[in-house]
Amino acid sequence: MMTNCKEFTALLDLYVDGELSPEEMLRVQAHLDACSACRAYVDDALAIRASFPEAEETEVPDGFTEAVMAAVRQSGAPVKPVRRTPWKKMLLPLAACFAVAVLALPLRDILSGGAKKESAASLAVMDTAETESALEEPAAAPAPAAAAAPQPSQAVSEEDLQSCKATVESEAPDSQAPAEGDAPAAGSPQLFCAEPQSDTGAAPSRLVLTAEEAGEALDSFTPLEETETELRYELTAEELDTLLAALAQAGVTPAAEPQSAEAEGGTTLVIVTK
Amino acid sequence: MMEKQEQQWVDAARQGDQFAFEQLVRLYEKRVLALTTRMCKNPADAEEAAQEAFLSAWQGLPFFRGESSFSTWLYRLASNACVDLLRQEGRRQSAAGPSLNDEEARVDVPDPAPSPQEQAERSELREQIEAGLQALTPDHRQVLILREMHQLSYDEISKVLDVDVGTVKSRINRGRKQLRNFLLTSGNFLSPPASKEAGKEG
Repeated sequence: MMTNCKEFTALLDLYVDGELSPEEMLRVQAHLDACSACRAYVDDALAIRASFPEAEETEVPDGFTEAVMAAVRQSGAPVKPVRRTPWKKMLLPLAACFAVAVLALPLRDILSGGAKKESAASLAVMDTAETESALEEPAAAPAPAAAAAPQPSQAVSEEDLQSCKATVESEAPDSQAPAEGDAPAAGSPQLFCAEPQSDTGAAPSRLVLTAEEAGEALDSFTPLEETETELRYELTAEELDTLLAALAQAGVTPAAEPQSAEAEGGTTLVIVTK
Repeated sequence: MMEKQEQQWVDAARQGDQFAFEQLVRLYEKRVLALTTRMCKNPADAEEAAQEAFLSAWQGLPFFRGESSFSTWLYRLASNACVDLLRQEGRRQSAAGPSLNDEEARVDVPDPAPSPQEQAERSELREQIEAGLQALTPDHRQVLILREMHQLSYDEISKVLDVDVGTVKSRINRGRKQLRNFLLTSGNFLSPPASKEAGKEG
């Protein structure tokens, strides 16, 4: 009576889970009547089901719903793409854009659009998809074509520049912005648009900081490894946000490299030089 | 009845109605937490993953096309959030050195209420099942929770986990076998002992 078992053992889970047709159910049932091993398996599976923990008995931590709704309110109305990225994520490309541009040239030259380097910086550090979706928001701050921007090969970058300029202009209309970390994004509640963005942005693959710059910002993280000259951390997108926010408050705009093809999706290597 | 109400909330929340979304949160928080609590290493992670799931749902609602049911989609978001945290946890632990003993990072699950003999036996079995679940790999644990606790079909599970149905089948089979073995070897009588003797019937 055990000869058919192999054929039936493959069906037992389907039987238990109601995934068989009525005819197949009957066949299995007939086999179970004759086979104690298969019968035992099915009986045990059903016993497990009968005593399986129930979702309804889950204890919900105090304030859970409120915490979720607070986060929902903070995130504003849902906007386009599926993957959520807090607006703070814009800090990095913006900061990097400014860091490079500002370090490379006096601000006035940048505003007057005289710098080729600047567009290269934008191209280099801005992920197209990221900024594209960020800029899709209709409530975006108008980007006055205050200066003739160089013509980059990607249309998006031009918008980036203009938005960058718009932000810079709104922050420091008449004077040069300080070289560091008035990363306008940190101070202004608005970047490109009225509402925080979500986008499909790729995290930069590397971030380099001096120990001084890092300060205590990375103390809550465990380094991936430590060499003689540096500490290396691997951060998720969320951890990166926290770090960048902390750095921005300290007035630090770290240098970053854009996502490389090989980099693991969404994580960033943070290097602190000793 | 509830389904229609739920659908109305989903539609309203999709338009940005936060009150409607809050009703969805209240409706699903236990189920989502039931999943994350057993998939994450500790209660704090479980809560974080659950919150993350709901927040992702809020953000993603305008683009939820309704190809699967709302609950399936939500479980998927919860599953992803758990995986993310597990991955982070794995990295931190490997960087930090010896990893936590699973026994020590005890998952906080509610105890069933004490009661008469049969209930007591069931309670013990339930506790053993919880322990057994923790002994499984995340993949196996997850499919069993989705199947047994949330009563999802193989098809729905495949959508939640974004794997094909064949994978769901084999994971359920292996997970169930492992859980059963765990229970049997830890002294639980699941079904009457006599039936366990194979090959005695002719």
